[in-house]
Amino acid sequence: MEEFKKKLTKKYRFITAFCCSSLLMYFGLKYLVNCTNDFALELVSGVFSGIMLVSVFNLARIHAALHNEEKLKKMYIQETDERNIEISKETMKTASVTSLMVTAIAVIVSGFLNPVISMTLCISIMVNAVIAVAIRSYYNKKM
Amino acid sequence: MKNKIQELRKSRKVTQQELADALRVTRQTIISLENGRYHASLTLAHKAAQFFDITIEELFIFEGEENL
Repeated sequence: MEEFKKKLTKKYRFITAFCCSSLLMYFGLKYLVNCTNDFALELVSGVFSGIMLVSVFNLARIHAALHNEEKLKKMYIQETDERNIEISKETMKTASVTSLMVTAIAVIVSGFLNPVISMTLCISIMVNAVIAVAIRSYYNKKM
Repeated sequence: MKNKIQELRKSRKVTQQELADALRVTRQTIISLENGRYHASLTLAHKAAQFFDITIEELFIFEGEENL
């Protein structure tokens, strides 16, 4: 449990640092960079708001757990439960395969409608494949 | 792979929550183990066997190709 507490403290510090740097980056982009593109500014605002919302929620959760033994124990069990970990792994595996298949179908369909979209999706598949191979090779050496 | 978790738990009058707390897993994991929907890892099998004070082979029944 002490290891988990240390891990949570590290996570708490990391999220706080991440929030602060995101805040600086957001205001830097908004006020220092002379951008007239409304879409880009709205996109940055949306992404920033999303990141902040998730980060604050996680910070509150971790803060509560670090100051309450009962909540800490509950969180420890939830996060280290092997069935939950197995479910997460299976979800990621199934989701990535499904996403790959859907994107592949989209590449074919968009090929008839818009070649630019089709090429973009095709490049996205290739980038995903390269990332998957790199991660597989990492775990192959690690395990 | 079948197991005797439910049988032993009931005979020793232990609730699913108490067993889950002792093994440091969720109650849902115990339910899935008892129903045979989830197979325990070696670590969890070891902990469960220790809890019931029996061997892993006595707690988990390996069938067919699971044996040599």
